[in-house]
Amino acid sequence: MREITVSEFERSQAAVVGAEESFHMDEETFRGFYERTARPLCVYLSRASGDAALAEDLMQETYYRFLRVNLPDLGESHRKNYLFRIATNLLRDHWRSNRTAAVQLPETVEIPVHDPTAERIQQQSILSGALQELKPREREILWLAYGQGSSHKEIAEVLGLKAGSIRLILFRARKKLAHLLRRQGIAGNPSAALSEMKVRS
Amino acid sequence: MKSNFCEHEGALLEAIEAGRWPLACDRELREHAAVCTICADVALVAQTLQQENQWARDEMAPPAAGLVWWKAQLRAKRESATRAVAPIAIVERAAGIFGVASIAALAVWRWDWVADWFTWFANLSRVIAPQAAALPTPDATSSLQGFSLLIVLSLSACLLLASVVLYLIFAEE
Repeated sequence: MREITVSEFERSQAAVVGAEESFHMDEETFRGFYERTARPLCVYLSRASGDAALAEDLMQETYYRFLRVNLPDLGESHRKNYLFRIATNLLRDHWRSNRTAAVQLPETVEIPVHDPTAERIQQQSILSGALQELKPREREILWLAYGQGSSHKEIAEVLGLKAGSIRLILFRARKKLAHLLRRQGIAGNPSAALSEMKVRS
Repeated sequence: MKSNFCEHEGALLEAIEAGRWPLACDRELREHAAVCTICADVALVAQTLQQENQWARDEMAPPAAGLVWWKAQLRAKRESATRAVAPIAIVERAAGIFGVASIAALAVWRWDWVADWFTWFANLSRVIAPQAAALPTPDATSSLQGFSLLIVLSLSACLLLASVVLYLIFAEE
């Protein structure tokens, strides 16, 4: 590698100052935005990709691209949708570049040490297996709609689809997942909901 | 054609999100969900995914905001520095290619000079030999003239290249 000259160094220093100014938000604003969006984004990437390590890498890349893009003055929800859209595109790029290797979701979910319930582990394992059988787009749309409670309009913004087509895609994906879950023995147990309600209250 | 939407979907999702489903919600809604396949699917999938989302949120520990910001800044700086020196590297590469191409073109254009030059080198030992020291032969004289011309042309090409490179550098700045 060739050595850098003085003038080149001066140029690069000037560029460094430019780099600091190239983000469209300052550090404090970013911290606030990150606190509100990091956890849902991390969960979305992790569940849509089935790979926690990949989710972490993509998260860093997502925020970097988000910071570098020259956004018009958007509201909070549009910013969030834009962030999720970047993440979705990165996921698709990843799948495209690894097309030969099928998306491998873990057979069993990683069990955190503090998790006390076997029922929870079993349900996570079944859900993970069922999600593995869906197409990436189906996983994304189901997670956004029911995991995060996004509206059809928001999902359309994130996935780059027409809002009118969301309902049909969602219907098909939901039907497929429901069938897979029932086949594995999950049937929307009311007692589970009741116990969840007790925990919440 | 079968419908892919039920008018009770919204109310059902609201009840699930609020944690009222199934026991704390309207009886009518429960009874409807028992017979409506769309609502049954919505209830099953939404409940399962929301529960999973809650668990995952508790489990996940995304990196600190400061770390992400710092990494992003570091990368932006590195990319900017690379971008800043990129034109210089391009000019250097272009100048190198142009120089080599000029020399090659010159060699092709004046191949007779190059051939003379090689001949002159081949005969050098004979030219500088003591017995021929008195005067150079007419052949050698013409070769030396050709050689000088080649040097002058090469130097001119180098000067021209240098001025182009300097102009490009300063114009960019």
